[in-house]
Amino acid sequence: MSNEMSRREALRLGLYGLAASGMTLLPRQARAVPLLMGSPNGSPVGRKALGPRKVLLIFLRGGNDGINTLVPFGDRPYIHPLIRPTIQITNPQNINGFCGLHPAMDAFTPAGRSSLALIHRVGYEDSSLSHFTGQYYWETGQVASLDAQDGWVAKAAVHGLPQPGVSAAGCPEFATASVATKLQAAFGSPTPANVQPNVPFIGDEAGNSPDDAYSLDAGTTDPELLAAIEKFRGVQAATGPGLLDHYQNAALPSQWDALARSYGEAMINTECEVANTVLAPYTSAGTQTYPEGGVQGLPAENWVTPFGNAVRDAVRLLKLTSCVVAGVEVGTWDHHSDQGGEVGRHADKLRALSQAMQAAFEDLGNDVVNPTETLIMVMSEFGRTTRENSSGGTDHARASVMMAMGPTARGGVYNCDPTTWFQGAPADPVTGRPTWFSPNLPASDPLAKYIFPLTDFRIVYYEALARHLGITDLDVLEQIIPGIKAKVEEHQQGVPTADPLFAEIGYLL
Amino acid sequence: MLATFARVVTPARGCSLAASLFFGAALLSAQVGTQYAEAGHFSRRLTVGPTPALLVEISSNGPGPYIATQLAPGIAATDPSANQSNAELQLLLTSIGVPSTPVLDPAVEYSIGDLARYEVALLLYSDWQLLEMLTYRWERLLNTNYSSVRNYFNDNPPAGGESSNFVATHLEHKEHAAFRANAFGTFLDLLEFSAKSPTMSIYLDGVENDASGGQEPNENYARELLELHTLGEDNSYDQTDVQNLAAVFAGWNFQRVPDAANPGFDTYEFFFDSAKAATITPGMQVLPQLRLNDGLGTPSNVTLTGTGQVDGEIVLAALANSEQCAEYICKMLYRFFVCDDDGTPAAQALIGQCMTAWGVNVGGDLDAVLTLLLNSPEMADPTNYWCKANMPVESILAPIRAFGGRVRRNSQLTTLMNLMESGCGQRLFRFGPPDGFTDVSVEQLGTEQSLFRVAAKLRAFLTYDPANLAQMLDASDNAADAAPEVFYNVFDLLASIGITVGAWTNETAIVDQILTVLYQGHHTAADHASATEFLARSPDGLTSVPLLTLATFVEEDSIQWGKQIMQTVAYCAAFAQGNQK
Repeated sequence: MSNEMSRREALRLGLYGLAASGMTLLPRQARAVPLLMGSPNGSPVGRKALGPRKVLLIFLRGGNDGINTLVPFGDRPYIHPLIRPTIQITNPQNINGFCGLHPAMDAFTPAGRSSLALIHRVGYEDSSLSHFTGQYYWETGQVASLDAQDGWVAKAAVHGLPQPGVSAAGCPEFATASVATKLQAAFGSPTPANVQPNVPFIGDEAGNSPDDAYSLDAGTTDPELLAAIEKFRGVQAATGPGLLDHYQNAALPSQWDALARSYGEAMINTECEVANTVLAPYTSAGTQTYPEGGVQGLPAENWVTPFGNAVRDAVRLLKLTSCVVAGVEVGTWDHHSDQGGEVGRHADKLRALSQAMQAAFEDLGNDVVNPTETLIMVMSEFGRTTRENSSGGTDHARASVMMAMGPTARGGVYNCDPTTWFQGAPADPVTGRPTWFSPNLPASDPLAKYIFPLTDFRIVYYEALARHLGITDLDVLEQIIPGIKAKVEEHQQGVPTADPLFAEIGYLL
Repeated sequence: MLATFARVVTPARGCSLAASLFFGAALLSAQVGTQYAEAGHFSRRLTVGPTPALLVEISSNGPGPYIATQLAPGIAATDPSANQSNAELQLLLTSIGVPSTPVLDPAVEYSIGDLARYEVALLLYSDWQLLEMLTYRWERLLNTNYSSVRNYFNDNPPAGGESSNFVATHLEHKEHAAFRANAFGTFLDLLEFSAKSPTMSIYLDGVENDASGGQEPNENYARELLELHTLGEDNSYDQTDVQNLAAVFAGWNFQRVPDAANPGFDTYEFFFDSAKAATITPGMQVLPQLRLNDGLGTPSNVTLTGTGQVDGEIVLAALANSEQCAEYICKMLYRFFVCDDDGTPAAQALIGQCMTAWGVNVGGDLDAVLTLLLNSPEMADPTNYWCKANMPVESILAPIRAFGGRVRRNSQLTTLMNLMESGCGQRLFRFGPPDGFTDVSVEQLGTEQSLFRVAAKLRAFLTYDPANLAQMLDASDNAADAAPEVFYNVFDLLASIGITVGAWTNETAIVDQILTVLYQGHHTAADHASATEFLARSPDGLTSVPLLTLATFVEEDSIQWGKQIMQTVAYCAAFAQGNQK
């Protein structure tokens, strides 16, 4: 790591060790100095930023049905009985007279709705119908390569975001954090110098470090054992060499040793930051509660990390540390059967999603002690077939919905109005009218099953990086999203053949 | 406590002659343990991790005899408790209470947690390590999720009044037993069992797939059959093939029937529900890109009959006999046993040979493929040593195997499995995504993986309860039994790696032995120095207490030594190498 020496020096000063004992928890006011972020062209934004610009990512794994999430009821055959006979939504929350939110997404307040950008028809050309390939493309920001590579967030941490320093508690900071049991590919890296932490379990709201918390203490309170674990960490000069030394030693020549040591070092460092800066009694600054347990309607045991807790913990990291991008994931959006319509499995998940988004929006936005300007982004690897299958479900398809919520989001609907929605839609063989829901096209016709993208997910990422986080140098952005520079320049220069999928949406203020 | 100490000077128990000789030699080695590098490599690939005895065996005889033995597990393939030499395993299996043969008998109901512990116990202690490694590999390839099955039976209560938990566990157990019984059989046997398994039918929606009346079939199973189970993504199939196969497998269902193998009990088995079947035109051809695995590129010409169940069986057989499937599974096995990079010229050549061993129209001869692969020069190539990152189950269990840890109770397994499953995400029988828990190296690493793997080692070696340390230092089984969370008796541990009482004062020798049994010389000089200094510090690390200063045996010293040695074992097990194999 580029600032490894400063970290080691800080650690050797003993700051970490003292802090790790829990004796030096600092008041929150001592952290998180609000920054004035630059605008896309480098000049100050039009208003003073309320706090550091950050991003909370929520990945819906399995392929979210964008059609029933943001219902294009203005495309009238949507309600044809041959299209979605048991799962159609007849009472969406109308937004623009053409599209409406699923009725179960009812947690958004007027303030939340005004800060909620809903972008339909997001995907990429020739999109994969495989969960695993699709997710990898979305998470690396690079389509058509499955080689092990850095995630797009990890690349942003290396190339675009401010380099982390040492916190007031003496702990090495981190720029990004995957709040999930398995390191999400967006935050992953095969390069030892680029590793980012994943922090699935911070500890409870009362500030306890239970058995499954992100701590080697694993809930023990025995002084002798705590002392032994401090010896294992080896971050204090007084306790001699420990794991930190081992991980910082030169690696063996075998393939994974350097990476394993880097993650080990990051583990020790992250544990320090979590224990000293985050793990304290916590109360949300909002009134909307985070959904409890697993996603509502499903047993909690389906979730290694309960979704609501994961979102709350990501917010804690964003508010209390210098972490700029935190990401959570929630699975089982793969509704091949029993999807349900206005009620049912999909509805339950959408309700929990809206609760989590609203809770995070309030928790982040109302906190005057630890203010941030955080953009919440929601994505999924693909959408689902326009036609319901025989099992009351939908199968893998192409474009889906992305969402962005926060003080810098321009609330409203994108790509779902009479002008944009029908672009590329086939004409119904009987009526001659354009529609994505023709009951008269043969099932073998891809246009009878899939909605094709109007916007590439990478331009949505680009806008978040450039417009929200202020990473405007196209050469830097090219390192994060390969190929983006040429695509953006074509549009900036008004090239007639510019790829329409890469036209900016303008969903940010 | 004095009585406890008195046992210190008794001859070490459980110290095999072979291990003593082996580690005696190791002590004289300038390069710690490197003479066991090859034995260590084969131990890590074929088993969950080396034991001293296994290192001696493979080092003495070469890997060939061990591979041959492992490929012929005999009765252990159908009765995992049979033909086992390890007494710990028998105790543990008794404690867990899962029968060798799955029976839907409410009188012996067991949970999915019990079944998971049963699998971990076998991974930990079975003599037939390759069998267990492969059984678990097939489980991950043909993944199902207990929770989906349980939820199905919550909605559709079993006719016999059994709990949905037990029925779901029973069906997962049947599948697990079939994978073990056919681990070295044909791939088609595995594939067909999976395709007809109620667990798969529920998990990937076969039970919901209804193509009658021109309805849109459910694509879930058809897509994953091609993408995950047999060919690999977009390898010689397209969306039309997915839709065609979704129609072919419509009606593949299951029903409750008397259990022929267990008279008096029911079970659930496959049946073809013609009422849900699609209308298939006789003579219809599917999977036009499929080629027979004959080395000639002969088209498979997969032709359907339109007569129902047999069409699905035709498809499964065509897939298992295809060149593409042979390549897909041979590559998978190469990556699992040899190295992740299957694109090198040497790898390609070996995979080609494995495809030949797969056979023509025999369903995929796994025994022939594995015999070839495991005895290949690439398998033995030292450049492939340590070229993989290991899974949590290997990282967590290997040190326990290495030092003869005694895991005798459900509670101990539960402790480890919570860290493996909740902490590291490797959930047995309850993994949600259909690709199963991956063994791809780069995906094994992360800060949370590091943390919970280290935490598991601290749990195992320190027991997280200092009150247990006295029992750890008591060589009697009775004392250990009284402290059920104790994994180790320090003296047994030291004996198992050839450390005699007289060598206790030699920090270098102790670290040599620990690193030899764990990593067979795969460590840096800095690692060794770090471990040596770690050992020579008091249990809280604040005082330097070289063992050399503890020249006389007194009770307090022995306890302190015990703590320092056990800590050092845990410390070395927590090295980065512990996440690799």
